[in-house]
This record gives sequence, structure tokens and C-alpha cells, in this order.
Amino acid sequence: MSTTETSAPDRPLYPPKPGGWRRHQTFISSFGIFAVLAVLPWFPLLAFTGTFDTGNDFGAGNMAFVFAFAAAAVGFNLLVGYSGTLGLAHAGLFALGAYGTAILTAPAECLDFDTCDPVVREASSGYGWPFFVALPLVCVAAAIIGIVVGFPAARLKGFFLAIATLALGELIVTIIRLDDDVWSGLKTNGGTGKQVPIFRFWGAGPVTSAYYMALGALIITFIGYVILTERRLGRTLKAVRDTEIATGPIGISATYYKLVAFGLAAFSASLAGAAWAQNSAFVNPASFRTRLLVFLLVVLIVGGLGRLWGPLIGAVFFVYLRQELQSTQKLLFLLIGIALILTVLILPDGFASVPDRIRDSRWAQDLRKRFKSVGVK
Amino acid sequence: MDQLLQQIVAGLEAGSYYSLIGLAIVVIMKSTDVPNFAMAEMGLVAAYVAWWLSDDAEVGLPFALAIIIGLVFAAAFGAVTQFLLVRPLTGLSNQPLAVFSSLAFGFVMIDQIRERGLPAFIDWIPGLGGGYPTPIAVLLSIALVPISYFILRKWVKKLDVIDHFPLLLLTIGLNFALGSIIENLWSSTPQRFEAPWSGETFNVGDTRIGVDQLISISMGAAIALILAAFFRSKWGVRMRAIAEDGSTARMLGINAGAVSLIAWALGTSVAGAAMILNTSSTVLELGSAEGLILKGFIAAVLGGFVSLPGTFAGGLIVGVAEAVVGGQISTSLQPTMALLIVVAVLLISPGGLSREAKLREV
Amino acid sequence: MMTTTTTGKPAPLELDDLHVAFGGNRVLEGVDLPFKPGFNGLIGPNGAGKTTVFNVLSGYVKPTTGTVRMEGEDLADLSQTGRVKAGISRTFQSPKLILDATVMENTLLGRHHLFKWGHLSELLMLPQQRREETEARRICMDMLDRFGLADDAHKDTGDLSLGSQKIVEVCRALVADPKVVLLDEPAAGLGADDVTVLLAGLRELVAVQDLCLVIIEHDLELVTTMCPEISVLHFGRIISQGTPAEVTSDPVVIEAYLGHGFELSEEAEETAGESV
Repeated sequence: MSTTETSAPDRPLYPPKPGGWRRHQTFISSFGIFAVLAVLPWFPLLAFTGTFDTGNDFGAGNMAFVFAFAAAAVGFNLLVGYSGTLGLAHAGLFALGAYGTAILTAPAECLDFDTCDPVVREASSGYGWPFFVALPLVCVAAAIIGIVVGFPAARLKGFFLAIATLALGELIVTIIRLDDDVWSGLKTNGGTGKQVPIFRFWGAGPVTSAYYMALGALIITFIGYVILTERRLGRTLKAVRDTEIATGPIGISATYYKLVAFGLAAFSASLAGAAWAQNSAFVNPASFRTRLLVFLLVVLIVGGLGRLWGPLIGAVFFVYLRQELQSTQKLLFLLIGIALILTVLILPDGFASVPDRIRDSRWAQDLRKRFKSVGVK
Repeated sequence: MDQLLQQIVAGLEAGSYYSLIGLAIVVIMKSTDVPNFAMAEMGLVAAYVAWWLSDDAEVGLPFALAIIIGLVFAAAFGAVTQFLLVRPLTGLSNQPLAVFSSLAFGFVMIDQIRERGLPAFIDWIPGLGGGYPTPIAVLLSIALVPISYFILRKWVKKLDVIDHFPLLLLTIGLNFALGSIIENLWSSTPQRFEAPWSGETFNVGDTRIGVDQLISISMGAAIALILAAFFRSKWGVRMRAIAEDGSTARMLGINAGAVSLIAWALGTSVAGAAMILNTSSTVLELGSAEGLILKGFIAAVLGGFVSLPGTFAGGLIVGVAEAVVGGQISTSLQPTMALLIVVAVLLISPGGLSREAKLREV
Repeated sequence: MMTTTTTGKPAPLELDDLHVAFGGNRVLEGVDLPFKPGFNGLIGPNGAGKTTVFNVLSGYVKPTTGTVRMEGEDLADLSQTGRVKAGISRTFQSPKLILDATVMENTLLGRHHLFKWGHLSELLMLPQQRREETEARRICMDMLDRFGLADDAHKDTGDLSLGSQKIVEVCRALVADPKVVLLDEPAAGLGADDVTVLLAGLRELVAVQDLCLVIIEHDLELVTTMCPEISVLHFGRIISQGTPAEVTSDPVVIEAYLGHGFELSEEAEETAGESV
């Protein structure tokens, strides 16, 4: 141990990073993966596996669903995994993004009023805003609503908070559904559902546009997540999660940070929902019920709670399974159920933790000792 | 205001189901600290068994006998589930789980390989077009069974912190799996499950009330009373002890294993009773449990997860509010009542309705 | 009634006629505790209410009656976070740390309330935020170095021994620029080496800044050597207050807590002469 000089120059203030390319490992691997995903539509190799292909778009449609679910799961990860708050209104906030953009971007009326069937008119009418004006507004509005939903967090703990937020999420979906039934003016077209005008990127087809929209949503949420969790917000949220009782005397308002987490999660959920709507082309209250929340939970848990790549891995797993077992719905739920059970039993940190588990396992450590490498993991 | 009495009775009936499921959830939570999302589904399995045994279906036993056996099945089912799935997570041996699951896996594999061949991602093995002959299926399964046994035995880890969240996820998975199993064993079409009193009604003034409604309500109350008495008894105290602090309870000589099994058996029978009453009054179908589980949790939350009277009252309040608001104002508002009530109550009283309810950390 | 120190300034921290009751359970009764700058000891048997005093000071518990004053200012209206800004820091009997974060990150939490640049600037990666963060890290590193933990700064806190973890918590409390630091059994569970390092570090700090330290401890040797001023709490009441010599020879204290046969070490007798 050296003497007690202050500000010794050899004491690194930031964790020392390994030299060379490993220094930017996260950045490089993320960039690489997203670059591959960005050019995937031009190399339809997904079709060859026969699993993602839905017949006419070489799997891009399904991949768009993967990205949308993954984006939603990233926000969910921040809320549940990082700040340890069981805020289960995610499905409702996802619905807000989907419906919000659908309503705001739908044309104000049918182009040819006379030949417009009243039913069709309802299903496709809106306010006619441009997509990229509506999107940020909807996301910010959803973030605010997310914060409101999170207010009970000040007084409720654990399971009670989970049920309260679950109920609030369901309420959002119910409000959407009851339009035209109990009140009107939201233009959600109630339980029948609404068509979603699809934003086309520079003349690309609807599926390809949806693909890039969803990929964009995922990249944005991913980058936000990485930046925030590596820095001060990440450790503050962890403090709220692990040392909540001590946060007051440290000067951290646990309630404030939980609300921040709620807001951020809501923002990403609505962004993901908007992207999902672009892919699905039709929104309907039934798609956003508690079952969706459970699916998001499955995506998050099987992928890996609190892990960087957890959401993406979980989303791939889920969409693959859904696609594979389309013909036998009952088997789908059985497998999802078993997957969840097995995950909790064997891989509580999800698939994303497999590399770490292998690295930390006994036989890997023995191997390392065998090769006599110089200690650093 | 007409039909108000009818709506109240209907509300009490629905509320009884919510309360009973809620009570089942609280029993298991109070004693083994597991939030069981599959509670209603487990009860539904028992209801299906009872139906299958009764004279509406194959076996043809008289109604009373069928439901008694169904309830016994429910108790056994609950105990077995706790034994196989929950115990490994709390640090006890995972051997029973490994053995049971591997064997089950083996049988299912045989069945599936015979029918459908191999799954798509490895079907580059030359297939025999959709199905494999039995001997090959058996051979493949025999190869896979030890592997799955080994995996389960080696890698099922005790949870570091017995947290509610993983246990909740476990039961969510169970919920899905059970739904599928029910669909596979029995079909997905709705069934009639007739009680001897089905369809009979009587009149109170102008209102027509079904006998089944009355029976559901009174059975609900009776079960709640029995549970309350039970929890004051020796066994009830033991149950609360192991939930509070399992290891200390064990040191004091309480057989935590036996108490847990009894708790799960008890809880599942209550859920079974709830589902039998529900499905004989309405209809027996796959979706019967899905709507109830959330309302059951809401009832449990209203009781603070600890108070049996609070849960019972909570369930009834939700049921009546739904029915009355739905009938008097608008049926569309019905689904929102449960949600509004739980949010309102939690905001006012974070621990639920009961005075005894404490905030439980999850 | 406010007390002043020998230099005439108001006491850095004082409790005035404090009563705390939980339901019918009276935990603190009529507690008058004027703390002096430097080391103050708070001792007494288990259940006497010592941690409750800390909980009142931190803002977890509202006293039924009585006032808490810091440098003359009544703290009653301040929230928990408000008290940190006013200058009160504390540690806990069992350390409350994030086990899967590094020692540096845990210590940095102490600087949280002093940050001016918020999270939006963090998201936008503004250089001012980065500078503020680096400066905070420098301060934390210096503090860790003072207590011999500089080499462990980037290790996972969960990998450290319990003793080291407790010292990390002390560092976290100290980097918050506090005027008053409440240490709840800081030496419990620490090995002799760790205790030496901890106490040496604290002594250095007290020598260079105006700090009021209140230490709850069961180790009488430690308390009598470190604290020129000791208060004894017994069943919610202060039964004795004064220098180590005074307190350890007080018959009430001997009867209630010390037992006969406790002898003050030489070092302790020296400390007694150092009262401010």
C-alpha cells in the first residue's frame, strides 16, 4: 500500500479500460450488430432459415416486430431492472404510442367524401399531421402520462405498486376502447380498431419502411439506455433499487427518480408502440391487453433482466416462437410457459447471461488456470 | 332502480368468485410467500377434472362425488406443484423436479416426434414427412431424457434472495402452461357442467334469483369463515410462522415442508371450489380463469395480502360495484370498476382495506 | 435552551428536550444532547434508543415534542434530502450499499446532492457535466485514499469484506461536504487494522475541518479514546454526559451499563483533557 498522498497521479478516476479495441467493446459490438441489421433487408437470408419468413417479405416484417418489442423491453428494463420498480403499465403506454400516432397522422377525412363509407371513414379518420411531427409529441405526452401513472410509486411498494400500475395501464386501454361508446371525440373508433397510415421512407415499400422505423426506435432507445445507465443516472437508479431506505439521507429523492424512470420507460414504450403500429397497419384495443404485458415480461426475463442485450435476445426468441408455432396456438403458450419456468429455475438472468455464466463456471476457470494467463478477466 | 336487487345478487355472486380466488392467493402468500398467478388456472384444472368425472361427461359419477374427488385432486395438485416447482427455488432438493420433468419431457417428445417430426430449425435431417415411427421416437427421447435430467439437476439454482418477482414469473409461466395442457387434454369448446340445482330459480318480490347464485354466495361465505377459523388454529399459526421466517420456524420445530404442502393443498382446493362453483353456474371453458385471476389479485390487494376478511370484503365490493354500475349506468363501464376501485383504494390506503394490513415488501 | 461552545458560536448540533414515542412505546424521553465540534460519543445498552436519535436527526422519525437545532437553526421542517443539504450525513448499522456497483460509484452517491448539472445534460454528453463528474471523482478518490481504499476504487463493492464496505459507507457520508456526520457503530465487525485506519482518517479530517462527529459505539475502549465528550443513553433517557473520566466514574452509569471493573486507559485520560 502506498503512502497517503492526495491526488496521486497514478490513481485512475474512471475505471481503467483494457487497451486497444476492447476499450470500446460495447460501442463496436453495438455498432456492428446494428449495421448488420440495417442492411439485412437487402440480404434476405432470413428467408432461408424458413423460420422468420412470412412468405412475401423475407422475414423483414417479423424482424420489425422483433425490434418493436425489443425497444419496448429496453424501456421496461430501465424501469424494472435498473430501478427495481414494478411499473406494469407498459402495455397501456405502448398502446398510447400506437394509437396516438395512428390518430394524429390519419387523414382528416376521406379524400372523396361522397363515396366514403361511414365505417371506413371512422376507421381511417384523424388529424392529418405529418408523422415526424406527431411522433415526438406523442412520445413526450406518453412520458408525462407515464409519470402520472408512476405517482402511486411514492406511497406504494412492490406488489401493490405492480397491481396499481397494471390497473392504470388497463384503464388507458379501456379508455381507448370506450370511445364512441361512453364518450366520443378521441377518434379511436372504439373496439373496432383503426387503420394506421404507414409512413414510407423515400419510396420504400410499407414493410421495409416499417422495418427501418422499428430499427430506428430500437437504436434510439438502446443508445439512450446505454448512455444513461453507464453514467450517473444508472448508479442513482441502482441506489434507489438496492438502498432505497438510505437514499433520503444521501440526498437522493427516491420518488423523483422512480418518476424519472417511469417517464423514460413510457417514452420508449410509446416510441416502440408507434413503430409496432406502422408494422401492423391496424390497431385494436384487444391487442394491448394484459396479455401483451405478459409477453413483454417474457421478452425481458427470458432475454435477461438488467442486461444490455437482453431485450433483443428475448424479442428474437419470442417472435421466432410465435412465428414457428402460428399453426398450433396452444403449443405456443405451453412453450412460453415452460420457457418462463425454465428461465426462472435455471437462467434467472436470462439468455444474455449465458456468456457470463460460462465464463464464471468452474470448468472455464479451470481452463484458464490451465493456460496460465495473467489473471485479468 | 329496477332490477337493482338482481344486479346486487349477480354482483355478490361474481364477487364471491373473486373473493375465493383472492382468499386462495392470500392463503398461499401468507404461508409460503409465493404470489401465485396460476391460482385460477389450477382451480380450473380441478373443475375440468370434476366435470370429466361427472355425469355430463365420460365417467358419469354423480355430481356430489365428482366434485369431492375434484377437490381432493385440487389439494393434491397444489401440494405436488409446490413440491416440484417451488421447493427447488427455496433451496431444497431439485431431484423430484428433475426426475418428474425429464420423464414428462420424454413422454411428450415421443408423442410429438411421432406426430410432427422434428422442429423446423433442425429439420434438415432427412425427415419422413411429418412423423417418425415409434421406435425412432422412443430412441430419440431416451437420448434426450438423461440430458434434460442432468440439466435440471445441475443447473436449477436456489434463488439468492427469495424475491417475489421470480416466483411471480414462475407462476405466470405455469399459468400459460396449464392453459395449454387443459386445451390439449380436453377440447377448447365450452362445456356445460350441470349442478343438480342449475337452472332453478326463485322469486323475491319481482326479482328472479338463481339458486346457483345463492349457493355460490353462501359457499363463498362459508369457505371464508372456515379459512378464518383455520388460520387461528395451530396449523394457521404455523403457516404464518414459516412465511415470516422459514429458517427460524424450522429451528423451532415446525416442519416447514409439511406446512407448505398443506398450505398449497388448502389454497388450491379453495381455488378449485371457486372454479367449480363458477363453471357450474356459468359455463366451463378455457377462458374462465383468465378473467378471474386479475380480479382475484385485486381482491387480495384490497385485503393487503394478509387479511382474510379484507380480501373477502374486497372481492364482494368489486363484484357488486361492477354489477350495479354496469346495470344502472352502462355495461361498457363494467370492466373499469375493478381497476378504478383498486387504484382508488391503494391511493387512499397503501396497505389495502384492512387495519391489520401492513405493507409487504415485494 | 441553546448552548454555545467556548468560542461563543451556537452548538453545531443539539437536541432539546426530545420526546419520541411509537404508539404507546416511549422510546426517547426528555433527551437533551448538545453536541460539540469534533468527536462525540453516544453509548448505552441495546435498545436504549441510540439509533432512534440518529433516525430523528436524519428525518426518518418525527419527534413528538422537542427541537433539533443545527448551528442554531431548527431542523423540524426539513425533509430527509433537505437535511443532507443542510449538512447532515450518516452511516447505518449494516451498510446500505449497491453491491454490484464499484466502490467509486457508491462513494460518488455522496456527492449527488451537490451536482449542478442534471441528467439531461448527461444524456446530451455536455462537457460541463463531464467536468463536474471528474471533479467529484477526484474528491471521492482523495477520500478513499485517506482510508486506504484507493486501490479498491474500481472493484465491485460486493467483493469487499464487510469491514471495508462499512468504510466505503463512511466515505460516502464524508464526501457530501457535511457539517455533522452520524456514525452508527462504525467499528462493529471491523478488524483491528481497519479500525486503526478508520480512526486515523477521521482524526485527520477533524483536525483540518470544522466537523461534528457523533459516534454510536459499543466498544468502550474506542469511544473513550476517541471522544472527549460522551453521552450515555439508557431506556430513552440521558443518564450521564461529560468527559470519558466523568462518565466512566459516574455511579449511575456503572450500575446501569458499565459494570464495575472498567478502567480508563491512559490514552482516554489524555483525550479527556482535549475537550473543546
